[in-house]
Amino acid sequence: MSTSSGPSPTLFPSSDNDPAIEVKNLTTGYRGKSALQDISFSAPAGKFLGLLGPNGSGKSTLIKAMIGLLQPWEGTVRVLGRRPQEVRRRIGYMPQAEDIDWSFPATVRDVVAMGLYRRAFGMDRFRKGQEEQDRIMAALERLSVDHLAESQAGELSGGQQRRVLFARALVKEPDLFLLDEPTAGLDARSEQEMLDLLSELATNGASIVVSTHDIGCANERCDLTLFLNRRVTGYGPPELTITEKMLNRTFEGHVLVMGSGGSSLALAPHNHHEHSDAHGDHEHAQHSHALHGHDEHGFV
Amino acid sequence: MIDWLSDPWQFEFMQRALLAGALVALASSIVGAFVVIKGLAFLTDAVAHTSLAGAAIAFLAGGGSVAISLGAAGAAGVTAVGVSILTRARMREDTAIGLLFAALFAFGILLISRARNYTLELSSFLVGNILTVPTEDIIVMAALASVVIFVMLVFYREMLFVAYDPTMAAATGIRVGLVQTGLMVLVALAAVAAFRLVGVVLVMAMLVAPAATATLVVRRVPLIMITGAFFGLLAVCIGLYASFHGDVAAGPSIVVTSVSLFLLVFTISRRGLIRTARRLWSS
Repeated sequence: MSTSSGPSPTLFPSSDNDPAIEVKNLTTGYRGKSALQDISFSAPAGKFLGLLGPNGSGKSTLIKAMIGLLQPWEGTVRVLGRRPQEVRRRIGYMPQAEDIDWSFPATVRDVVAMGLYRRAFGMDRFRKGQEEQDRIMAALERLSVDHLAESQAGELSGGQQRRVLFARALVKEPDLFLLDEPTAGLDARSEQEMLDLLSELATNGASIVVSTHDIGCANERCDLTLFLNRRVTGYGPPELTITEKMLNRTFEGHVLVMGSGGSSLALAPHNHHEHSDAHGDHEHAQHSHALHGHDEHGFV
Repeated sequence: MIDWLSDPWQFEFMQRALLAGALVALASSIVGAFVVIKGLAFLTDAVAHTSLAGAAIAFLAGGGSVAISLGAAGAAGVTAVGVSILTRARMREDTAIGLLFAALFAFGILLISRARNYTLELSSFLVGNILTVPTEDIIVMAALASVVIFVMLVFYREMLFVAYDPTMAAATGIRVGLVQTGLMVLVALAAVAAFRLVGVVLVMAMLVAPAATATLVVRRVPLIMITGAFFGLLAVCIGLYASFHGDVAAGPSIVVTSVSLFLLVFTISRRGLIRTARRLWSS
């Protein structure tokens, strides 16, 4: 399936058959402290990839590395066949809603317009195209928040704010979506609507990367799941990776890494219990097939 | 009554004062919108106070209006850059600002204390000289205001994007640090323009009060800028009347008016005092 498996003359040949994402031996972090170590995986275009892991496992860090906000200390990150900085226009990024200053006075329309930001010179800077306005409204309509276009973004509910942020990523019509916890804090119906839209975008050829805590929904929706706990603990289709062993490795590993705290200690067994019940039917038999992230192109 | 209103403007010094005030109100409100929204008031105050050191150096070296403004701008720039360096060295921003604020302000006063008529000069630096503002100063203010307006017009989208969501702005390829530094430079330029008018102590009122009043009435950045300019100009006019007829210092009179306007609007506006008190009472 993957075209770049096996030896290839150049490390990262650029062609339409390139994987949408190709991360090799990535180590990076903040201010001298590494948050990700030796991450390797690749994903073909048009897939819905879920990043799973406990808090502090590096999900956001990996997304930031994939959009070029963080430079690799070691290893390489390629998206859409190129360095992230070279393909920014084709990436729709949605930061966690907590990263945003919601007290800032801006209407929903203003926020979504930022998604269409492009460098412009001379009088182009002052051009306000009708086409731009149409695209903004179309994106808002797809998220069913077009009636809020003139509202203050900061006065919306948490779910509406996430829709607005997603509309801002969508308005560029990107080839790759990098979405950091897009469904956190959404009610069940809004979550389903957003996931339906993501599935539809993936069907139409867009590549989707979503970080989430929700193992059940990853199992249901994702083509691929990457388990992360500072390192890749598992990678492959959800039916192969979402197993008791994998959840243990990923979420208990977190507790070991943190090394303290009754709350995180309590959290991991809870997750483990809940989800091993939910997916208990296929775990042991498929353990041996759960693929390790270090075998880069190993999924079938 | 008509005489009372028209009398002041027969004097050239009052016309100049009004023109200078209008220029400063415009530049201040454009920058002030970001200062108020992003909580940069303390930094603005520090930039204004430390500009005294640069102005003092230029003054003692025998420089004229232009040199004094340039000196002030230089010192203001040092503060802006210094704060950004100290913060990157992981010092808390307010600590960094406090240190530079005190050090450079004290240094400025120390320099001025060498001047022959120390108290006179000091007071003109501290509370401004709007009624005796020379033509060169007006030209400098006009130049500063033009730069502020031009840069903000051209880079408005970047300024807005970075202020709203720096992470996403960086992910889009905007050089966030550069834009933030640019905003600080604009703050410094507006502060220097206001400094000659109302003095270092009261600059912050020009940059903060009109924009703060505007945020009570309108909720979009361009509207905050325009409405802020209106409130700033209104304060200049009323303040000059009060100064002319009441024989009080013009700079402080403008500032008192500006803050009074804020309190007035705050009391009656939708998000204001009366509504808030009523809500607290009923809950």
